[in-house]
Amino acid sequence: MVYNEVMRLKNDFIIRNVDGETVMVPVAGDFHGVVMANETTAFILDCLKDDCEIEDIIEKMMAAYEVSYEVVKEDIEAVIAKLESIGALE
Amino acid sequence: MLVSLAGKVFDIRTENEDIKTFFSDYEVNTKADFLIECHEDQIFECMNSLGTSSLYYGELTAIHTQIAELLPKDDSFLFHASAIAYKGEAVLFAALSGTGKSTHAALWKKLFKEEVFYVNDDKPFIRIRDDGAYVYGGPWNGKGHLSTNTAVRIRAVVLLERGQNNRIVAINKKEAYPRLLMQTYKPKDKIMSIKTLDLLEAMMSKVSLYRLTCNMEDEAAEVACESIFGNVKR
Repeated sequence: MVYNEVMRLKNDFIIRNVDGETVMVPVAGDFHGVVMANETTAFILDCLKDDCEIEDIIEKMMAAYEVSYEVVKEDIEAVIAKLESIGALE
Repeated sequence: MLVSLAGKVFDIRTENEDIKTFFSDYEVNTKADFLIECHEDQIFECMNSLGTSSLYYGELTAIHTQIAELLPKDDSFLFHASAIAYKGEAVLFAALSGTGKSTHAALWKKLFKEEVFYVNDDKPFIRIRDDGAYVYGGPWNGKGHLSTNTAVRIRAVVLLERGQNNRIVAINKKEAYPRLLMQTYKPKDKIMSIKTLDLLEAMMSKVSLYRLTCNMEDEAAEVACESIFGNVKR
């Protein structure tokens, strides 16, 4: 994971709201591999609608949830790694 | 020929007599809403991807694709499920292929006889209207060719799973969403794909959603019917 790398969600991944829950749906191939987002993931997906770096997301999340840098960083890295593994980022 | 599908009239231009026969149950004599015309290269492309030398299957698939691609802008979409009507209200059984949707639908027909008819046993059309989600019969109707040229308001959509015992539970949209999406036709066009998501989400809001774990005994249909429609008197 490169820290000063600018990334964003590919536009083949659509964010939906189903009953108040954030859901990410791939629309490039089939409707397979839907991601049901928890609160942390939903927050990160929202950030990734625009270009951003991991540090930007960490800052936003620390401000929103009043949690420590280390905790936020670990959570965000895990989510970003998952998004990268399914090819959702560019 | 003019064909009524999902509540709209399609002018299907074909010279193939077998294709005309395929659509014959849905032929009408009114004004067309959409023109469907498949060029040779589209037919050959379908034959290639199907790995068939049959012009009939090639053209039929090309027609199917054209229709499915334009439906979402007209508030309808193609959905993979076995759809039956019970006392005038529809129930859709959705599952991965091979789970036994048709087997379960057949249990309802066997148990409840003339109170049940098939709307479409494989690939019905869904249309979203203000007063509900409707399921339409259609010619893509599975191995048993079980379909009726009609539209029925949907009461429930049931996700089917095989199990030893019969158990049905109401589920929320969040649980149903990924699995319903897997049974929904995804257009190639991105705008149409997003429109399809709108329509699927609208359908979920207008029906009751269930997860049914079931075996192949009569009890499976009794348990499901009792939960969906209340007490069943036979």
